[in-house]
Amino acid sequence: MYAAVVAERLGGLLAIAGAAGVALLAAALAIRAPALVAPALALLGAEYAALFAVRDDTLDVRAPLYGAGFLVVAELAFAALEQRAGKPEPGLVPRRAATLVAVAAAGVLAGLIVLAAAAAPLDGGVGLEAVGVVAAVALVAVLGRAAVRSR
Amino acid sequence: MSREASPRLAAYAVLGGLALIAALVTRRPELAALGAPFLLVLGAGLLVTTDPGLEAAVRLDRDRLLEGDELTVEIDVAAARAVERLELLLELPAGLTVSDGDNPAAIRVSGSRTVTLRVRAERWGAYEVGDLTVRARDALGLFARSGRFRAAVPLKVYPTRDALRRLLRPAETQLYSGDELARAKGEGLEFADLRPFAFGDRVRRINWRASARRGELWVNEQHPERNVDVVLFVDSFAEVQRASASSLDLAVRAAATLAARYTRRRDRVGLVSFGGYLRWLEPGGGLVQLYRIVDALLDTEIALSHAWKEIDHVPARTLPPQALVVALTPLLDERSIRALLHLRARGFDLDVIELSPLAFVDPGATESERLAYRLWRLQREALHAQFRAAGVAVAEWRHGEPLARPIEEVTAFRRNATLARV
Repeated sequence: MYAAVVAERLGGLLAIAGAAGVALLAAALAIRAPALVAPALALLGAEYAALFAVRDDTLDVRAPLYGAGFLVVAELAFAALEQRAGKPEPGLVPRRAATLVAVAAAGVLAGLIVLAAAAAPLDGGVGLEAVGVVAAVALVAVLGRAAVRSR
Repeated sequence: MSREASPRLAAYAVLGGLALIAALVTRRPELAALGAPFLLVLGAGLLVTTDPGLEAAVRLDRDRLLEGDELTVEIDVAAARAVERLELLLELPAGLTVSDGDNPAAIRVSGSRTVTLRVRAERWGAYEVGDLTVRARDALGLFARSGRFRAAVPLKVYPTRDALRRLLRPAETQLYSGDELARAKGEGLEFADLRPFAFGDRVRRINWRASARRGELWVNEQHPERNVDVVLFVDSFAEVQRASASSLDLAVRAAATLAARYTRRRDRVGLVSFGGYLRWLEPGGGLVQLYRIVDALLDTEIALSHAWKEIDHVPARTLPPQALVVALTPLLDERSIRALLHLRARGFDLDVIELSPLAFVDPGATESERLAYRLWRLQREALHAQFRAAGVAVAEWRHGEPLARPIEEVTAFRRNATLARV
């Protein structure tokens, strides 16, 4: 809902998109459907992406925090939906929470690196942009392939 | 062990990929920053996922115990690589329940760990304990490896025994010395009768008081103490059951009690399990025979069978002449009823302890159900009368009552009844 709050115009529309995302996430938790978590988060991400269509071109430095928050929401949602057996022994839940905090912190750092790289004073151009596109596609392809093979 | 991916694996790949593509399309680095944490978790998770090399074993602190007792089960788990969350489920057969400890349990394993459970034996039986299902999750929760370890540690739970003040006395005794007073006269301790002195009588048997009164020598006669042969006839054709109690439980408990008491006084005890599976143990004495009988009882189960079995299938040595046959039966199956009447017709000294099905059956809610129930009870009473007319003592034993009650009832019947020739 951050996007709806900071948007200078069309805040209501963004709020509706955000509310739809939250409702979808709530539905995913209520009916225990892990498959709905990703669409809910995608909807919330789309709300955030729509923010840039209605505001100026200034870099939003809060994006890494927003991304880490997304990750925490996703982790908690999947943790709630995961089939777990057994009462955890003392110390297991705090360790899991500490791992989640560490992952979120690493996510913030990764986001900051991305923003810092984007703000680097490099001369742009079609070549560099093509390299970026190829790198992004290759990264997604490699991770997707690895994920599929590891199933 | 099989590996399965968490739903977050696909979700993070999709979200990360979408964020990157959106960043490229909209030329906004913030969207790439948005997807970076997901791609980071995905990459790290794929890099660190390995087989933890799990090994598990189950140990019991003893291999035999009595119904109602508890034992300690130790589950040893060893992992070559640390497992952040290991879920352990010890699959316990029906009849064993966890009284202390978590099952399933979720633990962290680095090296080796031991999980301890207290298990209570709720029901007699021969069990195999040790089927263990494990699920190991990695630190980032992207993958879970699950598998089963089969240890199959044998465990025997013996039925509890009822307290009995006295046992059923057979009509005839056997040849060897024992604790049962024989009807015949011979060398023994219990006074039986007086008779005139005969050549060969020992001087110490002379009753001097009777001899002085009658003017000639008279000697005492005694009843010798002999052993008896007892055959426990367990009807496993049919059972009635309600909640955790069943007529088979009563049969096994009674058989174990009687076998223990008779073997303790040097009698020979045999077993015939007459049902879907026909099994027998020839009469024998001592502790070994007792354990043989109890072990055979542990394997007793109701097996559906339409075979019409006759008692003639049982070897003759299993049913020695002059043996006391104690039948433990719910008197529900025509085949076992016929076999018992057949035994009686062959002259066996037979007593029936009826494991009453009445305690397990509701009279019914409607008038027609209650009528059917009453008719059924009348049929059962007619069956009892048929046995009694054949000189067979029949005593009902209901769930919750002590075994001593039907034993006393049979004893009273035998005291007042004479053996009929059928």
